[in-house]
Amino acid sequence: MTSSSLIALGAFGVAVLTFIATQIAARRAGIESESDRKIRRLEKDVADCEEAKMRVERRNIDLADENLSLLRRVVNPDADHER
Amino acid sequence: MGARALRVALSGVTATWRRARLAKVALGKYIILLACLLHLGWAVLLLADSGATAATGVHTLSIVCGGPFRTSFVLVCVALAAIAFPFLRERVSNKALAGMLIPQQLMLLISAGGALAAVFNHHYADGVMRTSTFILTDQLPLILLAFLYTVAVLEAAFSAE
Repeated sequence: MTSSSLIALGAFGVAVLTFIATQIAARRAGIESESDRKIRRLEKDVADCEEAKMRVERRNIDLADENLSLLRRVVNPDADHER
Repeated sequence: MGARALRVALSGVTATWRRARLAKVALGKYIILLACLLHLGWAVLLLADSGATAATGVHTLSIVCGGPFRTSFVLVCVALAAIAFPFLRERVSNKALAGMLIPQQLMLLISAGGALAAVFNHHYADGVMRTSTFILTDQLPLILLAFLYTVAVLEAAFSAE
């Protein structure tokens, strides 16, 4: 067997191993087809939306707290001095 | 104790590497682009002058494919298939991914194997004798490209969305 054949055989072996690894990765991720991919993308979008919603809610709560403290300061300006 | 410390340090380095980002875009596509440009360049050069098959990176490919013209054809085919991949990533299945990228990986691995053979034989494919360190220094980009391309293919498969 010539060195070229050996090299080609070795390269082919590594390529086959890579192919098997890519297919195992697909199985593990549950991706078999285009529709699987679409479902995963949509799931990711939904998760991103949920996260954004949570961020907005947290921000709303912070603003409400800020409003309340401002209101308290307007109603009772001496309260801060008392504290 | 020493081995454990080494393992902890290594895991720290690998974790940092995994988090490291140079840009907002994934960089694997640039490795694929580099390989495609290399193969298209080789194909053009082989068509221009069939004597280019004596170059170390192309020599084994030429033997495996059976001549400069067939090698050019194969190189153009694998390069076009691979360059189409980043544009079709969202639409192709994992089997198609393998079908588009792995032929080019095979070509790169054969080139890298030829380069390693030259290192061990102490001479380039055209017979010019040099020290193995000289040849390794010269051929290291090709060997590293084959390695990084394999990593890029695996990354594309494992980080599929």
